[in-house]
Amino acid sequence: MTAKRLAQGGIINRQDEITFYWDDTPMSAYAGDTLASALLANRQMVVARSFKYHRPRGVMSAGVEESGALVTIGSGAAATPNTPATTQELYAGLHAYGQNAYPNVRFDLGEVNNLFGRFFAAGFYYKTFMGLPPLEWGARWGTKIWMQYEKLIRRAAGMGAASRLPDPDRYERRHAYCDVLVVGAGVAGLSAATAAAEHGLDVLLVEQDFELGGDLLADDGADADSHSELVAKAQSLGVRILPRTTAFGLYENGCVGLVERVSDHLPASATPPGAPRQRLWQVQAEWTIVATGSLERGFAFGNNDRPGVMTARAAAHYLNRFSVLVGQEVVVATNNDSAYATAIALRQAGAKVAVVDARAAIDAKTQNALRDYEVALYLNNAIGYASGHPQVDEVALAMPYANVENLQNAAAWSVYGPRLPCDALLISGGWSPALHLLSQRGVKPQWCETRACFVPPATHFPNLQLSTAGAAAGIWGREACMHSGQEAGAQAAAAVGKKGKSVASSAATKAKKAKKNSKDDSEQTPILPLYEVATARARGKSFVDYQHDVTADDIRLAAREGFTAAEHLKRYTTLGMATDQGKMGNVVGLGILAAAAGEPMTAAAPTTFRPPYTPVAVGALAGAHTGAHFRPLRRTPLHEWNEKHGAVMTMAGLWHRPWYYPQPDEDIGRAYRREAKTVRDCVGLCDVTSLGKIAITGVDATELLNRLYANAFAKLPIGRVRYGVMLRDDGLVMDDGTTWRLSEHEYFMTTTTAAAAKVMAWMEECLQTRWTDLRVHVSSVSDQWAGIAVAGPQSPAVLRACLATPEVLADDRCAFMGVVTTQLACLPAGVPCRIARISFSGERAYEVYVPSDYAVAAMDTLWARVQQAGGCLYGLEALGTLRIEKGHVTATELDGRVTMADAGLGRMASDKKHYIGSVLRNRPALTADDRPQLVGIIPKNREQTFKTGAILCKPEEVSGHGVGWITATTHSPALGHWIGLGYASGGCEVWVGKTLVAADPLRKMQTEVAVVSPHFYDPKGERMHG
Amino acid sequence: MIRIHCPFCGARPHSEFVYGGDASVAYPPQDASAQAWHDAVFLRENICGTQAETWQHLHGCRMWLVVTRNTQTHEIMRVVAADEKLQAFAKNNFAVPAAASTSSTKTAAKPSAKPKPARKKPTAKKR
Repeated sequence: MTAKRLAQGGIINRQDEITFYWDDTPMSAYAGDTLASALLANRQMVVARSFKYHRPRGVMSAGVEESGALVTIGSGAAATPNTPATTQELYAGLHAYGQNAYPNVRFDLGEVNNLFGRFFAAGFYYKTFMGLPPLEWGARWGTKIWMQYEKLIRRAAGMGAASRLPDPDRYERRHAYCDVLVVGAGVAGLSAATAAAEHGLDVLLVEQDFELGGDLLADDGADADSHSELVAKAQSLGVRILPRTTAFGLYENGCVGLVERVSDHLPASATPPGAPRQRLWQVQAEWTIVATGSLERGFAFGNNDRPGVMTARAAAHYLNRFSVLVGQEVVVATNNDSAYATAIALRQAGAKVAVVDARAAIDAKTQNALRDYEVALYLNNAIGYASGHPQVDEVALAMPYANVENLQNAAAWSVYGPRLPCDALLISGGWSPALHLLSQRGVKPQWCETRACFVPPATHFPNLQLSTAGAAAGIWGREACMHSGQEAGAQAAAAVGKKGKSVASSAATKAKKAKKNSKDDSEQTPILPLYEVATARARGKSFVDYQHDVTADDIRLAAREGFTAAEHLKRYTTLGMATDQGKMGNVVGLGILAAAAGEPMTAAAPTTFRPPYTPVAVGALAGAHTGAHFRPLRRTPLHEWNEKHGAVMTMAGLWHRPWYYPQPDEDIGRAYRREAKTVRDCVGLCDVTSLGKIAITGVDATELLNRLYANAFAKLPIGRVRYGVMLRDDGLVMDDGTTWRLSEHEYFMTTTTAAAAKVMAWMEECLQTRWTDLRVHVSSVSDQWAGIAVAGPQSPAVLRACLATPEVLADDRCAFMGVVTTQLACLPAGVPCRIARISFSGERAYEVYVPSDYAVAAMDTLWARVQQAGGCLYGLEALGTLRIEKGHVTATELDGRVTMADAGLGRMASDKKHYIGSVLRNRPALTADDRPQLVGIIPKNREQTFKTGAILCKPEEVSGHGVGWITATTHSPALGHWIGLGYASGGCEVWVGKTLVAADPLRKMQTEVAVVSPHFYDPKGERMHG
Repeated sequence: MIRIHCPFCGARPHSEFVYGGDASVAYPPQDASAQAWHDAVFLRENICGTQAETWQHLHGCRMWLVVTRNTQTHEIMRVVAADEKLQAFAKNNFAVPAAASTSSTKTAAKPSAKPKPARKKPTAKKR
């Protein structure tokens, strides 16, 4: 006989019978079931295999603390491993699978591990396989062999397998604000939320379960009314209630992380369109009330992990909430009063029940009740060991020896003979407040001797904007929990400082009055701390942490080897690690450790709990920021125009930029060479909108530029442009660009695409923190202006044809490095157009800027003229070719590690003024002769090529960091072979006439190269001045 | 999550801000000695406790702020505009001094007030 569904009772919906699949076998259950209750109702006692020993495991609890029934939900890409069956809400068509077993959990070949269990103590693998010949021969080979063993071991021991496919589900993120966040909708949480709402506060109540009520759900029907009354009251007061939502982390300043399981409980067909699987909430709460309740723990004895063994209160949950009787012949083993109600309820439901209590005596009232219900009672007894395979069928009782002082001591208990047959063994070893969230905020719990649990040192933490109520604060009993909740709600209201409504004061006084009258009647006989029933001759393993197969012996071994601090114990044995976070085993483990070390529990300190309280899917943390949404995409106003004209796009930072414009049958190599050649021979157009643009205005604008730029700016005439280089404080190059003087107090600065944001923030920092006396205003106008480069010998003709007043381009008004503000003939009157005669390509060229809204119109006109002239559009690749031929630097060369001199710009630096970086750029290390300096690179054999990123080495020493590196390469149509830019120690002068090797070990290339001047083409610049 | 009370925008999550550096550093004049610049640029205390830092409200009003923060607890004691002229301005609920400015009317003193007027006014004041 095993578990069964009763004919009536529970809060399941018997009208809604649903089919689910367990290892592909169809089974029947009701809406309102969890997977665990459904499996029990279908008499599935063995539902999992353990981590290390592959021991059979069944359902051990009814909540998040579940360490036995860990299953995989779904299959393929959507598979979710290690889901506690106790928290998975059932839905029609749910597929669940047993995990860590072959061929299945009911018959698992891996159980052979259990036979060798004595060898697999804590630290076994490391002790055995590392440093032990022949498995490890010295430092050189040993690690490799260990690596192989590790793979095998990892395969054998473990949990469910995660899918390697992309997550098909959608997740989203939400921000929320509230006055008071209440975590947990049990008695205390509901009372706290209600009390806070009565004070007119905005209250958010979160509950991880799909039903509100917490422990109330384990009560029988008689209390159902008070339960629904509490919920109704909270709702009527406008408390925002989020079921299926876990507060997994508390962070500084009232920031709380929630994960809401939006559609994990719905079949795909019933999921509303667009609904995410889960939603991550980032809540900003003025005050947080932790009413997370407490978790029942067991104690260790032989085979205490057999299917059929579960916590006592879990059986009450299954009985009263799900109408599932966990066994026909039940033994309840306890050391406190809380299990008696469960024992009697199970008896009333028809089971044969025996109670085994470690205490010598209990109160007469309970004894009488047990007698009335014909429940056998064994006082001064505990479970020596359980037997049966795969599930429990018998327990052997144990008694402490007469002269034993401490029940936790080794061999304190004697298995003296009596055995009780049973198909369910319910354990209550006491209750542990769920302190995880408080611990995350640094609250250090302390041991309470009378209640045998760790409790928070206070209930109110004003500095943390935090309080705790109910069982989480170590308060037992319904009445007491309700009052503590009300008190916490009122305190929160006082702390948040909102004026209460009229109901508030009355509620508070009521709470106070009730508190005086109430008496905590839950504990008639105090709890007797018990962590392990240690017998002289152990039968079977005694588990402490079921999820990681950590036994009482493992803990004693750790203690013997000196790992007596809780933090060390955790890391040595894996006790309380991973998803479990010590929910069931922590206190038991510390109890055994304290006994082994001969110390009192008051000296023990639990490990600090870390977020998350329960596992959170990585997908939920990522939210919508996946794939193309991982980072923003920036498009220029000419994006569609470029695409329409055949551009192949590439990413440049966040920007999408035209890469090349292939003609039919052209690949990238032929396309960019044609584009570059056309620019040199005729004219080309290029979208350069992604350059950063900054408007600088104010009477001190000139002074600002003169301080920022390393070259002289004080005397830049109106209508002229200057190329400028900015340094950082430490003297290295920050960025370069051009700055145009539009009028006396008005400048227009361009920056590189990469450094646009950095330069803007830097100018703001200088103006707001250092030079607050300067009267200058800077604003980013990158998005306001579109930029088009018109380059090539035909560019003046093309541009003139497009202008309303072509004469502005005459040499006397717009010479090289001149700027004019004029009008394109195609644009409405009054739309400005800024034209600067500057050249990145080395040809006679202009940069034309128009307001973004007019970019397409301007481009259309320019393109028509360029086509007439026989020109082309060119992209980033050809732009690169043209500038490499000229030896112009970009962000690739100005990588934050180079000085002006390194980049060949040393002569630009002014020595007549001081500017940012002017002092530290002269540090000895930055002026050394052997610094890497910008050089041109060509292959010795002109037929050969080399790649960007290659290391420049001496031919006789192709290793290490070499003497330099290559930053850019291209095939030069002008020269007819490959060329590159790079840095070489000492610069051209040192290496001219010598051979170097461009070594590219990753791509397995080596090319002999010669070092030349970086100015490959038209070094005197006659073409652009022309 | 750190919450920073921007004097111009109100309390905002720290993800809107970027960290600048040590606000206690007084950068020397541009013609100061190499030693003075070395000390200002490279020498930093690694404080466990209260520290003055610069932050920029990058995804907000773009103002540079001086934030006094406990590096151990993340508690923030004080946030002011890095520009001292603006400190008084913010304190005065962004009211333009009577003597100054013809262009801007008095804006209501709301923490959520748009940053733009706050940025422009100091220039106006000077004129």
